[in-house]
Amino acid sequence: MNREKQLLALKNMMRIRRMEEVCAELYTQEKIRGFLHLYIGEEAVATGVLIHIEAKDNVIATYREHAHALLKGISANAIMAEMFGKSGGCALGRGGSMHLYSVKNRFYGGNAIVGSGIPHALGLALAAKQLDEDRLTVCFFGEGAMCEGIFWESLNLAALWKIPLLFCCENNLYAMGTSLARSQAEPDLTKKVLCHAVAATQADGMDVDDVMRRTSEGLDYIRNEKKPFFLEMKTYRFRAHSMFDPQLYRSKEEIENWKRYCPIERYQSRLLEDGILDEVTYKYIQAEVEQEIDAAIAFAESSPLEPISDIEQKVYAQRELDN
Amino acid sequence: MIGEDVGAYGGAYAVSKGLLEKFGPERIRDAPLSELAFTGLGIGAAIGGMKPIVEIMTVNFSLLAIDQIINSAAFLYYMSGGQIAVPLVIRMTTGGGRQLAAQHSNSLEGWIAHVPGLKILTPATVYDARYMLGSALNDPNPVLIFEHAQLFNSQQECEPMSSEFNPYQAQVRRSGQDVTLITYGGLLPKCLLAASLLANEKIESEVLDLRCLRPIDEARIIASVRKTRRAVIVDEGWRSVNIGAEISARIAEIMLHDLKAPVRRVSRREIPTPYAKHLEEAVIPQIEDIKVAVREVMT
Amino acid sequence: MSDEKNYEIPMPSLGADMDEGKLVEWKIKEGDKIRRGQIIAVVETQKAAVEIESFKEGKLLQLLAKPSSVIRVGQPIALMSLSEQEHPLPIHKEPMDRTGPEIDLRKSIARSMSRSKREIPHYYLRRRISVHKTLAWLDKVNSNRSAASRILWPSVLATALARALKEHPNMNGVYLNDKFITKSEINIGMAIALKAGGVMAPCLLQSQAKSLIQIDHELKDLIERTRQGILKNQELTEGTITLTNLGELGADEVFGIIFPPQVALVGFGRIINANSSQISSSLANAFMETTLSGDHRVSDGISGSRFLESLEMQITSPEALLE
Repeated sequence: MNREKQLLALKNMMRIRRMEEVCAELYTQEKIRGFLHLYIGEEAVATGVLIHIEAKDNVIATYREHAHALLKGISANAIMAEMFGKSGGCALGRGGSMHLYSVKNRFYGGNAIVGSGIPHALGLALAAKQLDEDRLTVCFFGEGAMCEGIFWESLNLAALWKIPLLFCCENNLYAMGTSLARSQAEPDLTKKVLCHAVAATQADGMDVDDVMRRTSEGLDYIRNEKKPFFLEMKTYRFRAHSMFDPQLYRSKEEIENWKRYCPIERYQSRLLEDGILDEVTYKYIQAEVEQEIDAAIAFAESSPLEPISDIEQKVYAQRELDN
Repeated sequence: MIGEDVGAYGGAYAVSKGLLEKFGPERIRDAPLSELAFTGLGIGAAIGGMKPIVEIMTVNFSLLAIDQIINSAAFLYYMSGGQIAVPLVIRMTTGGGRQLAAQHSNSLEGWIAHVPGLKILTPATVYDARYMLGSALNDPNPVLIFEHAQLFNSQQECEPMSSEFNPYQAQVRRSGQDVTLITYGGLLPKCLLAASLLANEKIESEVLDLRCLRPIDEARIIASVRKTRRAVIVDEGWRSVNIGAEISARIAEIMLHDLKAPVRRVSRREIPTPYAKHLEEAVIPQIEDIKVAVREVMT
Repeated sequence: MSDEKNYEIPMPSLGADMDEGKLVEWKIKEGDKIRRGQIIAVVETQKAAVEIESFKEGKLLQLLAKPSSVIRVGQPIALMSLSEQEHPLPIHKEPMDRTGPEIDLRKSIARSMSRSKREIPHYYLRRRISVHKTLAWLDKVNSNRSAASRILWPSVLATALARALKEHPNMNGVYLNDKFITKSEINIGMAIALKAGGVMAPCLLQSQAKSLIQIDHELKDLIERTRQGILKNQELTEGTITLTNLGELGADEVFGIIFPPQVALVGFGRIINANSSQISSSLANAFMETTLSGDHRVSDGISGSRFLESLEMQITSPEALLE
């Protein structure tokens, strides 16, 4: 763990937090429409994992994926414009918040159907293995996805065919409004995965250092053993499932309790104590983050809409593949 | 290639017999019973640079994978603003007529053809079965090939592929000037037989093999019906909301006043398919049904 | 109608299906101070009752809606004043702490930036500049200098910018009273982060007539005095363009917001070695993303591109900067 990496981790968490907060406000102003799922509280997970991931690696995430898209290299400009439905968005404005894509950055979504990205990640990892490419694949999903058959089908395939995929479960204890305790007869996720012949471990998803460490272990395992690995991140979202959610399913006390574990505040304190961070640098980072996100909003506002005359373009790819 | 029993078993319909020995277990993968996941895996592998062929044993089991087929394979290119092409081929067996009862006898290709973003091929001849696959593998889009179960035993001298081979064109299999029989896949042989029998009644039928259900070759359909001015669509889907309904609507939209008779459809009777032989025969379109429909449009 | 001082809080959109909301209960009263994130009311929609928050800081002036009234999304429900100050940025001699005037400073900057976003039609251009030759040259020059007198990279950038601006008067000046006035003096605002948060851009005065060594000397002095809070009024108010070099902390590129009444902002990202993702200044193929945020009332994409071209020429011919 070096200073540069830790400062980058803090900065990335702050970038995510700022972007998500701004999105909340923009949604109430109807600049962003449809569904909006915010990552506030869970920043340490995406940050800690993706700090190990390079441009050449593949990432697939859920509909709560702004953070993952940003850290995988899609510019805040393109993400914001996408949410505004503008043509400067990373999917021409056709996808919106739940469907951020960038082939250039090897970020393949953004999946609105729970669990549907998991087998895509399997296929990507298998392709990299069979084409002999030096490329990691990481797949993010929530604990709710582990109720879907597709998860267990995929886990089985991964173990059977030795597919080198990092399964990253973002366990924030709630699948929309249904808690883990009420939806899974066996709530110990790691235990279930181990029974399916896949190596697994847990991380404190509110502590970015722990996430970074455990991810590093998991990726080492994958590189050495050439087998899949499952990481359960214990985390919590501070805001509702999506913008409109009265949160009748959990108490304010519970939320306030978890807010004491805010990954950003804790990390900031830790780095200050350890002398890795000083006030000036912190404010500098803060200014940088604000400027990046403010610029993204300006970009999104001024980005044009895709002309309706183009609406039927790009349903089918035109290019013929080589034989 | 990924599918259930494509390797060691040699393929449920012997299509992949010998391939495991030739290409090995990394290329020919026997999948556990998990259509949804292995179809999704096929999508991921296609995005990741491979050219996978996913075999879903029959169209009946494709319902387990339909979310991946529609919400992912069909939509990814558009949803991503033209970035993520999915060059995946999915092959499925389809059709009824072998007393396999309701859950194993469906013809759902017309229903799946409803979805934009997919390409749907329905080979009815050995030649098409042979060369459509190669064409599909070269297509950067998801292509679904529906192989009718009753055609697996057909044999034919197969010519080398024409340089103008295009699977997305309907083809006239028999020329005629009185009525156009529009069909695809497993019902082509019945239409050809019906046509030769009708010739004895001095009715000359043109038989048009659609070959693809998405895109529908509207131009060739209209060209043929402009010539004969009578159309009978023979379709193995259930009557309501089938591909015949679509083609019928298009003919009416484009040339209603040039028709000598309303468009007739011959389709599956609208019930779950029964097991007993005589019952099943009453459900699936038969030669007699085709002849009756043609005679109706001729009067 | 909102203006700079007052803000009309709208009925927020809380979901894809929401057209209107019923105000159930106010949680604040007229005269209350409002914090960002504070719950201000309970709103009922088709689905359930939801608490709504304020995204701004300030004071509640007037409640515009009565409990039990139904209001369309976007219509104002309350009026608040935003806690911003009218007078110019205060100068301090004592080290800054976390309370008191810092809040004013921060708000002034925030207000200024909001105004910039609202009033200045921004356009953005980007140019990738190859810098390995310049870096090598700088290394060589600095090898003969003591540690304290080594020339800073931002000094090179500022000097190059000053030279380039001489040929592009439509980038250097102020826009006031609906009119652009170009200036012969080139006062480059150098974006510096504050302990208290936000960014200030005190300027290097009269840089048009100075050599690299002089500018380097002045920049070091400026940074020192900014940290101590000792700046001349002129340095704060007479800027004609701003340079932001946030690349030091890892931003690949910066699309900044223009500081009014200026008409341009130049951003320099971090130096990237095209062959690897690591920060490196001493390998070939090093490049730096350079961005221009321009005021579309004064310049456009064509003149902006030409300006960036001149800037590139200056940066890649560093020897001339010594004169």
